[in-house]
Amino acid sequence: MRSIPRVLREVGVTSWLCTTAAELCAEVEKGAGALIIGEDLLSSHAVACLRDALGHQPSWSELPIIVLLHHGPDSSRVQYTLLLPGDVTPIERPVRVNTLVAHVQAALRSRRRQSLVRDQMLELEQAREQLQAQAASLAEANLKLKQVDREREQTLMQQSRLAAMGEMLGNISHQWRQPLNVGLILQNVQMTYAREMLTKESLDKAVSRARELIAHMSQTIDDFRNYLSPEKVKSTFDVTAVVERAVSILGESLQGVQLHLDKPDAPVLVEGYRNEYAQVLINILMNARDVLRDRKIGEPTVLVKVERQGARSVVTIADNAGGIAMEIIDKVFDPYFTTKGPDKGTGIGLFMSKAIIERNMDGSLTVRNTSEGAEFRIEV
Amino acid sequence: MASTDVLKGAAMLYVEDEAETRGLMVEALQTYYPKLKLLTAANGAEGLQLFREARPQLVLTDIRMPLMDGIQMAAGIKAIDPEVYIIGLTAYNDRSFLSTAADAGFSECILKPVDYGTLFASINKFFCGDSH
Repeated sequence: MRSIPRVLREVGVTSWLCTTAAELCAEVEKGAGALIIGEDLLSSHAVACLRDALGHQPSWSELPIIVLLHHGPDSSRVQYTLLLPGDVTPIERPVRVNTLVAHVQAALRSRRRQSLVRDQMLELEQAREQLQAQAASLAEANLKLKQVDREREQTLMQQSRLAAMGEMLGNISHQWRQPLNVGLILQNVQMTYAREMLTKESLDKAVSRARELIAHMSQTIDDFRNYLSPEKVKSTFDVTAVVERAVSILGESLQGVQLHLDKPDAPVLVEGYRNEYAQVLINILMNARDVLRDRKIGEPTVLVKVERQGARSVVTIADNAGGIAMEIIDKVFDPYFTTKGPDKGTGIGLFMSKAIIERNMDGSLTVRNTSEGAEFRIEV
Repeated sequence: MASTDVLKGAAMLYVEDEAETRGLMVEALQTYYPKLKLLTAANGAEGLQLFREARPQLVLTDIRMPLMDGIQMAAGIKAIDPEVYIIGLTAYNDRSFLSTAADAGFSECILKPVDYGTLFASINKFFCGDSH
């Protein structure tokens, strides 16, 4: 045993001689390339401490262990050989020097290969971690982009809503002044009373009309306030009610366009963003009104039809303005595409409408020409 | 109460596009001036036409109206008769409008919402000043 370090040194292998199991295990823990152990040192204690030292080794690692057995029949210690946690090679004494050297070199070679594998695995692991980090930062960047996109879309949406509102306000100033008639009604009552011409009927009529005007004003204010308030969550709404509200918001800004509403027998419910849906309707209706006016159509008419088809709600808005030219019908939903002058249209109305219906509500917004004019179709 | 006898034979043109407002004002004017001949029109074009036919001494008109607004109509009326008295009823209270209103031939502007006291005082003043 004592001559082994010298023999190994001659073939270029450094070795340490340990005399106790504790010493042995400490060296193994430091990272020996191979272990030669004499049968004498094998004990349950040695096996336990080696198991401890090698117990947590990674999957690539298997320590080569050469056990030098006594010559002759197996002693009781031989059973420990089988319990050693490693790549065990028992060699019986007397050992020829060349045999031992060959075994040691083979053990060290295999150990070296193990560490090569380990290095490669480490490299792979590092590469994987890097990739993972890159993927994570990409995902994060993507999320930020999406957020920016959504924010920009919301800004655009708010802008187009405000633009629509601004245009409507210009048109509906008369509608908003209607409640001022209450002032006239009251003064008329006062005057007829002063002349003793006031009757119960005329008073009742005046009061009920005044209340009607005030109720209408209140409804109009609610319509506008609801329409302008931003909504964060989807809700379930009755499509017909939203169509009616959009028409009520538009009010006089429809400027003499005859609007017919074809209602379904049962309520058609949709899950989504109510105000955004109303905005789409208002956009399409205002476009119809503009084209009916610009083309000076004799009896300007818009037919809005609400129905349920299978699991989907379908709203069609058809005008009698002659339709969209075939050269541009594919472009009407493009951003910044407009047929109106720069003072009239921003070109984002239909683009936003399509985004609202298709991206935010998983529906579809399409257009086709009928024999009379354009027909927009909203399916959600 | 003005001495409405001076109004016998006098005519006034009232132009307003909003039907309910027009109805209420007509009701009041007819109650207050039963002897005044009241002509009504729903827009500037109609008003100008009526003016040409009936030649009222006084015109009371809304400003914002479809087809032809009150400013265009006033200019048309002044071209026919530079002496006619035109009272504009307006919800605009900005100076820029009031200055163009004078250029367009408005003799006077009364702000909406209309106060009968103010309106009747202006009409009375016109007819009384005109008649003595």
